[in-house]
Amino acid sequence: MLRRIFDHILEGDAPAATECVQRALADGMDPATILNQAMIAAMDETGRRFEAGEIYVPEMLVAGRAMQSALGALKPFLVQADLEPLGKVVIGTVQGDLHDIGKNLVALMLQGAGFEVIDLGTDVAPARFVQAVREHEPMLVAMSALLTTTMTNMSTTVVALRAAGLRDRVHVMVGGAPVTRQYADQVGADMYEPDAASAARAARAAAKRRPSV
Amino acid sequence: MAQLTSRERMLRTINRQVVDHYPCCFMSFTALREKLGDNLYELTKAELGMGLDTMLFIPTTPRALRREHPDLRGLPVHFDPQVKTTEWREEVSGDYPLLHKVYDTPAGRLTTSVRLTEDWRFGNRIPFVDDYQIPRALKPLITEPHELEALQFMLRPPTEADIAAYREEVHVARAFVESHGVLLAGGWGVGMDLANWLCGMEPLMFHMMDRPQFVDDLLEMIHVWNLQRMEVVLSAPPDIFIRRAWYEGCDFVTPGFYHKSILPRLKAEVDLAHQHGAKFGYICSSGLEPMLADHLAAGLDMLIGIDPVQGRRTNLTQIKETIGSTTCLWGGVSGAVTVERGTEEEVRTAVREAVQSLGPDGFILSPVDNLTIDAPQTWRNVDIFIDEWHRTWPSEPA
Ligand code: B12
Repeated sequence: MLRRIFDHILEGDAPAATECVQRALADGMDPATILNQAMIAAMDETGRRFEAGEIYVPEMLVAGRAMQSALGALKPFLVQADLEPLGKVVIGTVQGDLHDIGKNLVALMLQGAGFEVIDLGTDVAPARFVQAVREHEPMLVAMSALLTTTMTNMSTTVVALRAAGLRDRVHVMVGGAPVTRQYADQVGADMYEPDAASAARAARAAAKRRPSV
Repeated sequence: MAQLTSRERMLRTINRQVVDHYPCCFMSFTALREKLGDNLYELTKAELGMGLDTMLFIPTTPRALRREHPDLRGLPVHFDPQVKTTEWREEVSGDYPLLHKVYDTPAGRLTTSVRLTEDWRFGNRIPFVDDYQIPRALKPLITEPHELEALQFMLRPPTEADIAAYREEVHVARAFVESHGVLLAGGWGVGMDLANWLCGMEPLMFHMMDRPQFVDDLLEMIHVWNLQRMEVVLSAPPDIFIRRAWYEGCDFVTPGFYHKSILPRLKAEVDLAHQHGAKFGYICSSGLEPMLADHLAAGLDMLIGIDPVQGRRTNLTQIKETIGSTTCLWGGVSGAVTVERGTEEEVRTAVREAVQSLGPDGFILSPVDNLTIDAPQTWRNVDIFIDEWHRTWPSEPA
């Protein structure tokens, strides 16, 4: 059954993936096993194939949709079993920028990696990032920017987090087509990742570390 | 070799004949165009004055007059006279107001709604299709296959009056390009970009995966419309015909869908341009790698918009190796990252790397895809860009 859930997510077949999860649960399978060995594993494989250029954004989107749908069926059982997510992530596209295809993929992969993702959407003002960090206490803030004209708002957001006394409580990760590692250093972020799959890997690694700034 | 006119240099480059030096022609230059009141004749003259190669693009209708399709250059878009539109604004407490638009057609009603963010450019009006509107759309215009019947009333061929106005412009444009020795370009053709404007980007990707026939039918409708418009534009005939395809890279389309649903139509459009003696240029600035074999199969003469920084899956050397011996490559340097924001050394290095990997034969240098910021750094870097271009010319002209 785990194999079938894994395959259905990879194929992007949401109804089949969800039905298999429901059946596995009805058969008494451990929710954590379903999550880790079938669902997270399938999203890891999706990320690997995407990075390797074996699949592309549309395939990744449908895999993400299947994962989300199956997760909907699993969630009540995870809560019952007291299974905590790996951590919380607040994500958004910076103020002035409405590009979100890349950001959505990153959010999907983070969710697929076991994080609870709070997606603030696009055109997110620094104050909204600050407010969300206060409210949700995430381990990571992830910002996306596609426009050179507004990517400076990554820096403005980091400054706002610092001013609010929250900067040392969260990791900050940035990405998007014009963003580089060097730029990440410049704006005071902890991490830069070039794509959604590597973002999920880096977030997992960061979940094991305390934010250090 | 005697110095060539810009038109000769561009055409010889596209045709892979010997040139005095490789050309540098900016694919778009909004910062300069806007300074010149969106007048493309003045833009062409100004670019020539800067020592650049250039082209006159027809029809020259400025953006402000393309009310229904600001981001689709070219002939006016007309709806069937039976289509009635209604627009209204709705205030939403605590959020941006909404704008709604309804198109009533004999085959049913189409509706769209957008959030009126502070930077909305169009007042209390929603254009038919546009880049600005997709990310603000709460509901895109097309969501279901049955709506294609109504859409048919929006995609009407050019009218007699459009054709007459175009012919008149061709007269003037022809005289202009002949006296200035520049290329005449026409367009834009469109395919998947229009589908994205109509359906929204992520919804369209889901449709493509869930019900590919729906998207295929939509593309067929767009293709037929596009051919009707192409026939008119190609009657000039221009030296080159350009199709916009920003949303036809692998970040929007799977290679399988591209091969099945885009390639055959693209090939028919390339063939039509060739029948009229025009070369075919295709603008796509990201996600190129998996589509290169199909670009070759379509017979593209120019691949426009090669961006080494913001273009994902864009490997210059691989592009050159795969299609560079038959397709002219246009671009090579990021406009927004390198030319608008880079240091002198970054600009110079980027120009050298572009010509090394993409040129010098069959290569047209350009910032990709645009320079929009009218700031001292842009203009300084444009001078450096042009200077570095000169430095990479052969010391002994061919
Ligand atoms: C699609 C697109 C649009 C769509 C956006 C739809 C949407 N819902 O997102 C539309 C048509 C709406 C649009 C509009 C505009 N766009 Co636009 N757009 C693009 C395009 C073609 C592709 C972007 C994309 O989605 N790529 C696919 C995704 C998957 O890739 P990605 O975003 O890079 O994400 C990947 C990585 O970067 C990374 N990543 C992304 N975010 C994050 C975050 C973190 C934390 C991490 C770790 C990683 C990460 O992971 C992702 C996947 O692995 C680019 C061209 C390009 N070369 O990038 C132009 C581009 C970004 N747009 C551009 C411009 C100028 C605009 C406009 C301002 C003007 C215009 N008419 O085009 C408008 C208005 C925007 C606004 N403010 O409203 C320019 C930007 C130039 C600049 N100054 O930087 C570009 C580069 C085009 C160009 N060549 O000039 N655009």
